[in-house]
Amino acid sequence: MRNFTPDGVFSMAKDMKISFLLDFYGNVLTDKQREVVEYYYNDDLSLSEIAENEGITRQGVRDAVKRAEAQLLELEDRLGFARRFQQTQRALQQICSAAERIRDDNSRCSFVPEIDGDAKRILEIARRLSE
Amino acid sequence: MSVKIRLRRVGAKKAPFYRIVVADSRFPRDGRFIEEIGYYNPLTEPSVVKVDADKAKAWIANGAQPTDTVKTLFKKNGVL
Repeated sequence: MRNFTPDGVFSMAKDMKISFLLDFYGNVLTDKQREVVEYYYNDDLSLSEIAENEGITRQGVRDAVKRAEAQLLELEDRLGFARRFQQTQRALQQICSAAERIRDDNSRCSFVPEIDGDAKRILEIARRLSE
Repeated sequence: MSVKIRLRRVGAKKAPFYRIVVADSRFPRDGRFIEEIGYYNPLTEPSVVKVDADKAKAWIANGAQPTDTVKTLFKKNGVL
């Protein structure tokens, strides 16, 4: 999962990968924990802003965020749902472009209706899966 | 009143997409913002950051504070 985004987003103060992991494992956190992490990552609030809004200390917010992060990363390490999801999405995109190319090539060369039909079906299925 | 430039996540589950917005720091959660000046799409390869650099600079010159995350995005994309 270290490669969620390929171009150095990890050097950012906040690891935006956490925002993505929340989509997969957010339900495992307590409501309160999830709320704090969502503020931090999805609304890009600072620890002090969250502390002010929630009426708790900045350190309290920080602990909650760190604990939640550790839980999310641990789950991803063990289960890998996010990584698998991304792999599947990329593969589906490749399938779609390949199917489109087949249809293009087919229509430019000697058009074979069966080839076009099958390529179209592959395209439809791959698109449905990636939704 | 302090004004912040921050990311705000929009879009579907499992498809993170962020607007870069100028917003009053007092109303973080009600969705209000003053202006949208760009977006950040981490899903494409490479990720895409689109910012209206003139607006960003004007806001910063007027005292708007970018968050660390936004600052990093700006630096990476030569806005600052």
